Amino acid sequence: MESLAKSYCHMPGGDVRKGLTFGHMLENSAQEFPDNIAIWFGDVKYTYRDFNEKVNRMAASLLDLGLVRGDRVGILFPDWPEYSIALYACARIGVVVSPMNPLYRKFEITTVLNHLEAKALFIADQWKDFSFVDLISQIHSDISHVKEVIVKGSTKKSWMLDFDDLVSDRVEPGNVNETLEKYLKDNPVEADDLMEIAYTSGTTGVPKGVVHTHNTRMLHSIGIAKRMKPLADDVWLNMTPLFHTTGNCVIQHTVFLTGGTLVVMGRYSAKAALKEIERCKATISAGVPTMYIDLMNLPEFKDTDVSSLRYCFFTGAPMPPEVAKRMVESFGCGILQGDGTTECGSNVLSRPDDPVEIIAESPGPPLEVGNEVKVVDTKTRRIVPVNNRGEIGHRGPTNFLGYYKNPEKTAESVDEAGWFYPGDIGTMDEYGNIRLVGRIKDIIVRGGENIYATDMEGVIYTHPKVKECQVVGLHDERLGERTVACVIPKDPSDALTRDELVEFLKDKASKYLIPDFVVMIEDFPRTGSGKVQKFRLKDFVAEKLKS
Amino acid sequence: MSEGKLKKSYYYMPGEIPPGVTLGEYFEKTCRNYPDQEAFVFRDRRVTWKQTEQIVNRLVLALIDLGIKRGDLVAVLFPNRLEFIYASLALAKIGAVNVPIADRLREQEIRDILSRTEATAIIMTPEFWGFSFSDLIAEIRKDLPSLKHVIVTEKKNHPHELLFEDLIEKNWEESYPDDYYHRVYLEQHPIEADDLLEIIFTSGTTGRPKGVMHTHNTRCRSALGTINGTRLTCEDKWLIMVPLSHTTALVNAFYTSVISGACGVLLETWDVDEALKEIERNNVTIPIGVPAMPIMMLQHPDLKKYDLSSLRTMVLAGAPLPIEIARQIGEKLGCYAHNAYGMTETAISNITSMDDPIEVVCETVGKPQPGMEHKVVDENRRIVPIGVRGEACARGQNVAIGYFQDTELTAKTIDDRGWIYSGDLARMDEDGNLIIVGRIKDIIVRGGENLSPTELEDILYQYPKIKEVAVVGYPDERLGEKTCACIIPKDGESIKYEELKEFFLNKVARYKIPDRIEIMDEFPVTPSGKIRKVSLREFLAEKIKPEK
Repeated sequence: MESLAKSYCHMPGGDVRKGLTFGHMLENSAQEFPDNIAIWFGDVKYTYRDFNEKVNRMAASLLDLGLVRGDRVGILFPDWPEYSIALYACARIGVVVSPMNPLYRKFEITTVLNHLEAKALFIADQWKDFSFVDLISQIHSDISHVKEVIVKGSTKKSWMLDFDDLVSDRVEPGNVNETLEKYLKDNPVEADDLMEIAYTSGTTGVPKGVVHTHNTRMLHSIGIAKRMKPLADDVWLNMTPLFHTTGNCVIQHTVFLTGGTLVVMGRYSAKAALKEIERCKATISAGVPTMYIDLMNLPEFKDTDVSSLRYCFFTGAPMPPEVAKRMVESFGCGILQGDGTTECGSNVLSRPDDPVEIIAESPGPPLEVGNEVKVVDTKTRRIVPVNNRGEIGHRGPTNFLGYYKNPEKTAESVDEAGWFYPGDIGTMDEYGNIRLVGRIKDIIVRGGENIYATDMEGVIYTHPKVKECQVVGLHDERLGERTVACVIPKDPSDALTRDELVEFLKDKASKYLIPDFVVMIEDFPRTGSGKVQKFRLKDFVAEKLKS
Repeated sequence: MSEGKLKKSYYYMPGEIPPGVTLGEYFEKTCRNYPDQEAFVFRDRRVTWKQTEQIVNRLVLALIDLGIKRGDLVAVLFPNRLEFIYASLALAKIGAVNVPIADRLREQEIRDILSRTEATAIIMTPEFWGFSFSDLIAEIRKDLPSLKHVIVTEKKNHPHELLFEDLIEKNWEESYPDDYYHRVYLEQHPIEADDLLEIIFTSGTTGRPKGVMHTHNTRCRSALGTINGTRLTCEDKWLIMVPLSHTTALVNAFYTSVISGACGVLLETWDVDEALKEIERNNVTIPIGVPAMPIMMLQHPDLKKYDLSSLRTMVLAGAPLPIEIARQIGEKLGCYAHNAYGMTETAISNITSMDDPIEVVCETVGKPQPGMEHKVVDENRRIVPIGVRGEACARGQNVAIGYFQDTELTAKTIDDRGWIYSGDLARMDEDGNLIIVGRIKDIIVRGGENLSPTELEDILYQYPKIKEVAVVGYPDERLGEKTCACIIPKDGESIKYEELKEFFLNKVARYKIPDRIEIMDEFPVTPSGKIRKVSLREFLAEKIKPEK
């Protein structure tokens, strides 16, 4: 690829097959790799043949329950094989899935299911001392569209259905294929049919239902596979939750597309993950940087054989270069970075052969399925020269269709030419590698100056008292906004004052990077996946500093 | 796709047509690569790429001096002339939006386009075929407050006009020195491939023409697809036999030349003698037009006198190509033919390949361009099995981004997955070739022009003696279809064809005036009161039969 001068990069994808549904994809994999292990959970192993069979039985059962193409279904499982079985069964018959967070409670579950007008819901009977069976019973009248509740587990109400029944002999095994063929003959699933509506927590406000088709999600996995070049004998340890796009699409779908093994753990814990790497001889792992840091810091790390790994894939945050180097040395394998959104998946992914320093800093160039990325000036919306900061835009066949029942929000986020702007600020280098700087909503405009919260956070982190720091803006009559540093101190009894910070940073950083206020805080408001919710922090600070 | 025969009417043509380059960038590159090669020819006037660039660059500075900049809409009105080429390229370089106006349009259409687009300028021929555009603009410009600049060629007729020849003769480099265009203008107004390149107004099924919006990306990638399909090189020479104001020649001959360095020979308007002369004189390799044109060539009594050995293929669109004609094109004209299909919204979405057997070239319109997909769907927009009839749809880089100021029509025609619904009835064969069978949308295609019956009826209602009117098409050997206005006059009135023709002459394009009228007492209607056009057509067919 020749050197870029402007921050626009297109990756060709002319050879890529369009029009493949998830139903066909799994059928193909089951034919090509019938005896490969598809899913591995604890002691349970399903071959592709088994997995496909269960998917078919569940699909036939769903048809028997009266579900049809286009119906919406919620899936509220921890990282279990049942998650994949339910999802692929729905996809087989054109039912639209909404993967839901098992940390959701009454409010989120009701909101999502009602917005979707979901016809059915898959739940675990109970998880981590919380009974979903009880919760769903309580709210059943509030989610009146939901006709069927399918439970995996030993406890359920009499009106609920048993997952294991549906996946064994609710429909006579001999009739399963016939039932499916008959239905699919008259109601074929097309690759442009809806496949998924995923509600994003977002760090910037109200949850949105992101709509995807078989095409958009399949082309994404095809792109991931093209870049990563996984093998059918790869064993993937997925540490990120399956209901999120990383686990769901970057990992799960790509594993099944390529005939590999998906190792799931129910829920991530550093100790369990480390054990699994050794036990399953994982060759590819997927997680966020914090997870890898935790793993390397475990006392038992040095006694664990992690030599099977060939790639550690991470996403969600850049990796400090020292940590990246440590990872490569400690795990003895390559690293790969991705970055994405529910809206576009991981539209960018590292080139495996790039130097470690680049991979640590950059999630790489766009996927080779015809995807494009650009960086534009925040005001003029014009493409900026390489290595200049601006707002990042994504376009391509992996982009979502829009927000469910929310055309206004869609129109806000996707322009006329089809570019989606997730609200990230960053740069592109001459090779098409993206580097993220922060969120556009985290720019504070103080007296006409643009101050990037991440820049200020970066200098504050250097103070020895600071464990974690987040910078937000505070409305000000004269300056428009002022800057507030919210600090979690290493020692709660040893607070940091603004004067101390000013003294410490004097001569080290420009005055624009010294916050107007410093506030001590116990913890930041966070999303289910641990991301800081800056908008809530901003509200909290506004309240606290009202005087 | 070597997967074997298709079962469903969906096909994807593998291949990649790269995005991200503007028409201006392609033009500059071609001028760098082939400066001394012939770029365009019009009768005795020949210009190389270098000469074209010099004129275009002068025009760019002249327009910038007038205050025209990126995003401005500028109308361009010429028959096939070099000035159309210069104006279009200058506008593309500035990032202004080209609004081509066909030379056959008259007062109502021109007024409608200029007021809807609020065009800031018009670059035009002052008159053509006895009609003065100069006088028309002078008359209507008081109603067009946005129209600041009226630029004419040849001769000024009104004081407010500017002379095109003056603009390109002036030494603008004095006031705008040191490569002002790149150094200053582009810094302030960088142009991107997703910027609008043009808005083409074309009749659809509704009362007023729709403005089809295209970007540098959609049109340049479309042109690249045609370059690929016709294996166009810088050695090729187009004979442009159809209007440049329409998509067929605009994208597939003009823009392909700009991108590949091929040469474009312009026919001002279609004339079979001119065509044969120009092919011989210029060693044309690839004419572009409609099937009726090679038919007329083949029927020409003096065909054998012309040396047509330079021909290698031709691109034909807009009507079916009879197999006998395709054979004769091969035998008597000594070249291939490409059968092409598309709409203003997609330029060429399907084209046959040089490797296709003659039956495929005649019976089908071929496969999609590289990177594009097509499908045939039923009335629920679901893909039909191979061989079953349905609506032809296309998706990919050629597709327009929408209709000007009409988000409703855009949403109806282009779905949220990017598929455009053509309104044409088609089926697909098991190799993925598309066969056009008929039409679902209610339009009449008369001599290559799309006509909307609703639009024609709205026009006719301007005639005070008409109480009710319904427009239908009827078959015609030469034009494909002709138009008939079925009229119920107001009580006590009688209407003759000549008075109607007289009334509308120069108010609307000649081809929108009905070819015949039928005076009737009442129309056949459905139980719900809608006019039964099917019955009208049958009645007409019966009536016309003995007339023949």
